[in-house]
Order: sequence, then structure tokens, then C-alpha cells
Amino acid sequence: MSAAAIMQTIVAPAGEAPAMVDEPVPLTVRRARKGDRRAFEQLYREHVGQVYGLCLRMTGEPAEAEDCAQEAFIQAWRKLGQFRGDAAFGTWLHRIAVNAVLARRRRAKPEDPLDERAELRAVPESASDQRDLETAIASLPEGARHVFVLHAVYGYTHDEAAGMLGIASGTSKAQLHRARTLLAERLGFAGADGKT
Amino acid sequence: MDNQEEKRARAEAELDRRIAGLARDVAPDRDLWPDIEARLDEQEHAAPSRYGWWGAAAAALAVAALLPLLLREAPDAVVPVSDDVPMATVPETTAPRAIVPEATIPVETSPGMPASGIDTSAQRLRLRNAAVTSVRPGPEYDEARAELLELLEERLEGLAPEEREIVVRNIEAIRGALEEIDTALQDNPDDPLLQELMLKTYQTELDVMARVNGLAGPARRRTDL
Repeated sequence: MSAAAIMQTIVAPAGEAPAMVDEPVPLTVRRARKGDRRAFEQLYREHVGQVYGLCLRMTGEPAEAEDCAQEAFIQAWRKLGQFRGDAAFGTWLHRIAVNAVLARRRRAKPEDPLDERAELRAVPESASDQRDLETAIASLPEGARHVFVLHAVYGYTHDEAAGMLGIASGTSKAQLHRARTLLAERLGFAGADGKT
Repeated sequence: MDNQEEKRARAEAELDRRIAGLARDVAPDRDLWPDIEARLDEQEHAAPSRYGWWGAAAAALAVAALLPLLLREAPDAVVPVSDDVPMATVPETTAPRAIVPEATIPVETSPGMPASGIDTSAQRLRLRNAAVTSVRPGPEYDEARAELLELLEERLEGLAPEEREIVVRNIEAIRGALEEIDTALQDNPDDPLLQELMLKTYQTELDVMARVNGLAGPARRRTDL
């Protein structure tokens, strides 16, 4: 076998991505994976609302949420070759966004007073009831807020949310209970419990 | 249902109603795409390979497979290679057996390295070490690598300058691959594929060094001392 043939054999399949018999990856993602920047922009346009919403609710800070969302898309571009279509592209993107938020929080100083000034946080524009709820969510302690956002707002199971956050599933359930109890108190609903 | 339970159920229902009303999508105040695109441009200029660790790994594997051919086809090779000369293999006892990685053992980073030049190849190999912080094989690997490297540096002296340059560049490519995979592992430390790839690339480096040691024939014994 010639050197060129060996190179072809070795490099060509790995150059793009592992071959798959049934290609579950959407066309736009496949185009982006080949380096098509316009396709990736299309993915950005489709998903930025959810990614930014997730980051905003997890961080409670618009500027921080913008940074995290940007970082998530940049990481996504770098990792597109690793997306295998096992989950929906949006789910895969959410995981990256959660990692971006957590990484940013880890870099923040431990004595970061964010939680103490929760009432100052921005919340998404919404109707009065929703706005009250957003404000209450933003005021939750970080651990409870993260679980609540992933589980109650974005619909992830406790196992999924726990996996994303690097905590035990039981901890996720406990944090949700705590979040719902606090929200009920802060919204003036007597008796609401930590439903899982 | 007593009064307390009824009250709790109503509160739960009201909380759920409000949660259900939350929009998942929230538009940022400004379009983030221009900044994202600018950063992608910066990254691409900094790292020309858009294939990331896949490309790096492929390069490492290609090096391992092609190195004997490259050396055989090098012009004016000073070391004849016969087909009946067996390739050197990594001894069982020295192969990295790091299926269980020893994580987070920092290794020294490279000081400045000349971009080209063949007269310092042995020094380049000695100085250059992959700046890997995620998955590291155990001390057996380091020991095996040190032994092979020492032998390699001796054997390099017996190669033609062009061959020597090929070897040095390719081993550096493998070390570059290790660093690319290391970067990917920092983002996904639990990814079994990346961990396996990292260990295989360590193995590839050892294999390449062992092959070169075999291709170059017996080390020349110095008689000028």
C-alpha cells in the first residue's frame, strides 16, 4: 500500500467525524460540522433564545448570561465533531451552556455576594405573574436555582439535571423541594411543597 | 381532603401554573453573533486545524503508520533498511498500561523551541514534553519513555539530517496531538473515548520511538572516547 493510500485510509475518516450507519445528526449540524459558518449561525439563531434564557435564569445576571451564552456557542463550534445525535442538538447545547455557567461560577470568588443581592437581579420581561415568579427564581440560592431552572423550567429529569450539575440525583430532588418551598413562601402561596 | 391539604394542593397547582407559563426562550438584549463570530475567527487564526483533537489524533496515528515509509523513502538515507530486520517493539514491561489514568499530574512545559533546524533535534526532543495535565499514564510509562528517548537520541545521530528532521517533527506532532486531546479532556474529563485516545497516543509516541530505534539499526558505539 502506498504512503498516500495509507494516509487516505487513516486521515479521511477521522477528518470529519466517525462514520455512522444511520445519520441522526440534522443537516444544519452536519453542514456546520464541515466548517460551514453560515449553517452554524443558523443554529445560533434557532437556539440562542433557549441558551440565553437558561444562562440568564441560572446566573441571574444579563451580562454574565451573555458571556456564558457566547462561550457556549464557541465551545459548541469546537465540539461539533463530538455531537453524535444521541440527544437533540438543543439538549447537547444546553449541557454545554450549563458547563459554561458552572465554570464561570467556579472561577468566581467564593465570597461572591451574588446570592445576597439577588433582589437586584434582572429578570426576563414578562407579564406580572410571570415577572414575580422570575424575580422569585432569581432570588433562590444558587444550588436550588440551578436545579429548579433545569428541572422545572427546561424539563430535564432529576438524573439529567444531576448529571449536568455534577450532583447526585437525590441532591437534585432535595434542591427542588427547597426551591419550591422558597418560591411558595416568596410568592405568598401558603402550603406549596417540594413536589418532585 | 382536609383544609390543610386542600390549601397545599391549590398552592402547588398555582405554582405549577405559573411555572408552565414561563417562556423557555429569552432573547438577549443584543445580537451575540458578531462577537461569537469574531472569537471564532480569532481561534481559527490561532489554531489552523478546525478538526481539533480528531485531526490531531489522526495525525498522530498517521505518523505511527507512515514513519517507516517516510524514512525508507528519504533521499540518501545513510541507514539501509532491510525487510528482514524486525521492527523494534515496545517491550511488554515498558508499554504504558495506564488503563486507569493517574489524573492531574502536571508535567513540565516546553521552554522555547526552534521552529526548524536539524542540528538541535536531540535537544529538541529532550526539552519538549507535551504539556498535558488531564490524563497521564503511570510512572512505568515515564520510565519506558525516558529509556526510549535516551536510545532514540543516540540513534538519531546515525540518521541522515533529513531523516532526523522527519523523526523529530513527527514526534513533535504526536506531542501536539497529546496537547490537543488534553484540551478536549479538560472540557470533557469523563469522556471515555478521549481518555482512550489519549492513552493510545501515548502508546503511539512510544511505538514511533521504538520503531525508529529499530529502523536505525544498532546504536553506533562511540570509539572516540
